Parts: sequence; structure tokens; C-alpha cells
Amino acid sequence: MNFADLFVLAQRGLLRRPVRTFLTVLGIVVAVASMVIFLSLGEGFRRALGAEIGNVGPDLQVTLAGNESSSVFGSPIPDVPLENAGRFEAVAIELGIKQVIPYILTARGSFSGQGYLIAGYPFERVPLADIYPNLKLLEGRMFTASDALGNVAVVGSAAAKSASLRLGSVLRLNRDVSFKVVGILQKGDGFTDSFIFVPFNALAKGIGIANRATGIAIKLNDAGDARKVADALNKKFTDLNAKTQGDVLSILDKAIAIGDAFRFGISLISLIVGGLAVANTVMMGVYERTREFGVIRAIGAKPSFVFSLVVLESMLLALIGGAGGVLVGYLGSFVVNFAVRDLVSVSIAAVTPRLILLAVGVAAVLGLFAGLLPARTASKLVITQALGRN
Amino acid sequence: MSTILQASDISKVYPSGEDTVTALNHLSLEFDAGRITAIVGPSGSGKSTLLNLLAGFDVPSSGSVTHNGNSITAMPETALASYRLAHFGFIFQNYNLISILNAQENVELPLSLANVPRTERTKRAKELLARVGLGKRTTHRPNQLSGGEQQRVAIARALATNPSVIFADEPTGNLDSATGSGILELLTERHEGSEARTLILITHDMEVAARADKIIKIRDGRLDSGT
Repeated sequence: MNFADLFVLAQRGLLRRPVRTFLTVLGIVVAVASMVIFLSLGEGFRRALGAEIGNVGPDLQVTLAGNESSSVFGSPIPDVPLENAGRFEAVAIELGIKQVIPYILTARGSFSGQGYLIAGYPFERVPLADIYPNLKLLEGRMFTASDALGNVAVVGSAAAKSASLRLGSVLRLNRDVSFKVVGILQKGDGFTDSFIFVPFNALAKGIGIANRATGIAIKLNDAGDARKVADALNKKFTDLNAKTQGDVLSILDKAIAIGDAFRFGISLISLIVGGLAVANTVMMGVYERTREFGVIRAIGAKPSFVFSLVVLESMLLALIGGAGGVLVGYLGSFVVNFAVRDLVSVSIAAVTPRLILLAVGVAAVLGLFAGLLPARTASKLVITQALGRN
Repeated sequence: MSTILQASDISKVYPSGEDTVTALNHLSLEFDAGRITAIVGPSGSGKSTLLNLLAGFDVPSSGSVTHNGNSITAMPETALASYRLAHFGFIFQNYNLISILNAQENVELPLSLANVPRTERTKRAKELLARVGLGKRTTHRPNQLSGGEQQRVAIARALATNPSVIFADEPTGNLDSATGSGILELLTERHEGSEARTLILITHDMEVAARADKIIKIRDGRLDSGT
């Protein structure tokens, strides 16, 4: 029997009990959709962070050795002594270092709708466009050389929204320090939308930090030397840790992969339940059709034919559920993004082709395994006993 | 008249708790090609067990069954399935049509298993259904057909692969006498055609058996007498 005929038989077999089939498919849809939504969060983060790191510009980021796990950008509390900038500048010519840029990152609020990051850079000597080349001004102005100690801010679009800032508004950092908004940036597609940029010195003074930075960004004459220079710096300055963009990405990827594994673990529970539902439905179908399988075997079907038929039924159930799950998961990821887009300014959920392939693959494997036992039972039926069954 | 099917000293013993039950006891039979043979006997005499062994549904505890000189007893399950498909047709008391398939699809099923191309098998199924008087009911599912009609579909299905032997197990057992008579006409009419098809009929009804060329009586798993 060719596959098309086998497919028709399997499809008819499933449609014998349409309600039961529908409910089983629904179970798989829910299981796969939850997996897609869970894992789409990792995919979205991976894509957004990858793009973000690529946009950052600095070829190296230096933080204190030993605190890598706190954040890829550095410790939450600025702890890198600024004199390190001088140490790097001293070897600038030797190692091909073009610029040494200390920075302070400090979070305000959370991702609950009011969160944003205040980023302090020495804009008096490094233009914002050099650090984040993709940022475009919507209104107002960028920093000028005279802003070194000026309490002025250029605000990302999402940060402007969450902190209710407009051109000319005042951002209060604390009771004594505030910044006047002189520029609003165009809406982008990254975390920088949630950034409020201020001059380094003004921010350091405002938060009471002296001679410390969150980290030091380094631009090289030749970005291709990043690995070599990072190794040289790490060897020369053992108290510091220089990371390339690749290092940062790999740390992020590892963190996201751990998150993926955790989320997949949660999804696995629902997938197993869905798989058991498929196995139950197919097994019930086998018991109900014992006599018919006996007849099919009697008139000349091989045991392998019956086995294939039952496995195909199981896989059809799982794959239809899987396809439905991908669709629902895709819609779900839209809902997630819609709900949090204004909060974090990036699409944190992304249903990528590899995620779709994974979901369909998992559904297929689920169907295959769920069908094995019922298929074995059906193919091992004794014809004389099966024919005697009512 | 040549022998097409032969059972040589076959026995079938079933376990029953700590004891055993002998359903067939050293039975030897020959079936001539192109003839109708009725196997008769009371309930529990071993008729159905005999059919199961002759058709290759089951293997004898001892002895062997050969079809055209080929020992079906010694065949592995997969080869035996293919052999049944190619050489045997079956008609059951309960019709045993596949409920999810319509009349035409039921007749096409063995052809489909034999990988006959779609157009060819559709043509063959329609021809056979027309021959059994169901040319206008090809798209009806079994539950939309009467018992007699279902048995006609089963006959068409049994004939689909043009087998050399047809086994009919109480083919009129669930039918009223008029309908049963029509079914028997159909079966014997087929037999009287130019094709030399062997029909082995299991029945406990002597009126049905009377239509056969040869009657084999069995009782308690042994040959009673033959005509």
C-alpha cells in the first residue's frame, strides 16, 4: 500500500471519534504552544542582545576580574577604578588602542513599566554616535564639548515614555541632582531605547561615586585584533578582565541557554502529558478496532503495515497538534511582545525558524514514541483472536 | 481434478488451564481445484479451527497445510500475509467490512495492499460491485447497507485479487433465508463461471452444504465421513 492510501486510512481512523481526536489534538496544541512561547523568550533575548552587543561599538569591555557573573556589562555598583583608564592609555600605542571610554550604568526602577538605565559616558571627548552608531536624534540636540559637567540628558524613546520625559523636562536623579532633557532619540529596536544618556562626570557626582566606573570600553584601531588585545590586557593586568564582543555574546548565550533549558524543562511536563494523551487515544483506537485490524491482517496485510498505520495515526495527531501549537505559540509571542514592548523596548519573544523546526520536531518525536506501544500491540494481534472480538 | 489445498495429519491442541483441549485430531484432507467443498459439523466440532489452519490464520500443533505444493505452515508471518493476499479470499459470517471505508474502498482494500494502481483497482472494484448487484451503492458505508448487501460487498472484496481459493465461514449465518439464498446463488454462480475457483464453505446448515460438490463432516475434531 502506498503512503497516500495509508494516510487516508490513518486520517479516517482518527475521524471515527472526532471529539476525542479534537481534544487530544488540543492537548498537544497547548503543550507545544507553551513550549514555543517559553522558548521564544530565549530566542527574542538572544536576538535582541546579539543585535545590541553588535551595536555597542566598543571592541573590548573591561571590568574587574572575578565579578564576571554579576553582569556582562560590569558590577551593579561601579567598582572599576578610573586610573585603569590611564593604564590602558599607557599601552595604547603598543596594543593599537584607539579610545579608552569609562562608563557608568545605573538602573532605575525595574522592567515593570517604569524602568530605564542611566548611562554615563565622557561625551565631551567621545560623541554618542561613536559609541552607539545606530542612534538617531528625534528632536533637540546631542551632547557638546561644553556638556562635560552639565546636567543634561539625551533620552531613548522608551525611557522617555516610561519616565514621562519630553524635551526640556527635568529628570530628578535624587534630591540634589537632576538632568535637563536636551535631546530625544528616535525609536530604535534595542535596549538603548530604554537608556538615558548623561555626561559621565555629572552622573558620577550625582550618585556619589568618585574615580570609579562600571566598566571601561575600549575601541581598537583594528577591530580584528580584539582577541589578541584582550589576551594581552588580561596577561598584563591580572586584576582586570577584558572581554571581546564575542566573549560577551558567549556569556549571554550561555545564560540564555541555561534559561532555555529551564523553560524547556517546564514545557517538557506538558509535552509528556500531551504525549500520554496521544498514546491513550491511539491505544483506545487500537482496542476499539481490534476486529478490523484482524480482518485487515487476515486478508493479507503484513504486521508492519498495521504497525505503520498506527504510528502514522499517532504522528498525525501529534503533528497537527504541533502545527496548531506553533501557530498559537506564534500568536502568544505577539501577545507577550505587545504586553512588554513598551516596558523593555525590545521584542523579547521571537518565534524563529529554528524554534518552529524544534517544535515540529518535538511533536513528531512525541507522536512517534506515543504510537510505538499501541502500534506494537496492534501489529502483534493474533488474527484468530482478533476476528473473534466484537 | 487436481488437488489445490491439502491438510496432512493436522492437529490443533489448545492449553486449557493445566489441561489441554484437542480441537483437531490428526486430520488429513484434500480440496480439489475449482470445486465447492462444504465442511459441516455441529458447534464445537472444529470447523472454524480447521478453516483457521487451512487459511493460514493459525498454525497446527502438528501436521502441515500445503497450497499448490507450497507449505503455508512453514511460512514466516510476513510471507504468509503476502501469500494470503495473493491466493486466498475470505468471507466471514459477520461480513467484517471496514467501517471507515465505503463499499468501493472495502473492495479496493486488498488491491491497495497488493499495490495495484489506483485507476486499475477502482475499475476492478466497480466491476465487482456491479456483478454482486451493488453498482449503485459503491459510496455507501457498511452501516448504510443491509446485512445481505454487506455480505455482497464482502464477496466482492474476496474476489478482488482473483484468488484461487475462497474461504467462506458461515456466509449466510446472519442472514434471513431469502437473503441467504441470494448470497449462495452469488457464490455458486461465481463458481460456475469459467474461472476455476475453489470455494471452501464452513456451515452447520445442511441446506447450504447441499449446494457443494463435496461435503466433509467433522465431529470432535475428527473426520466423520465425506461425500
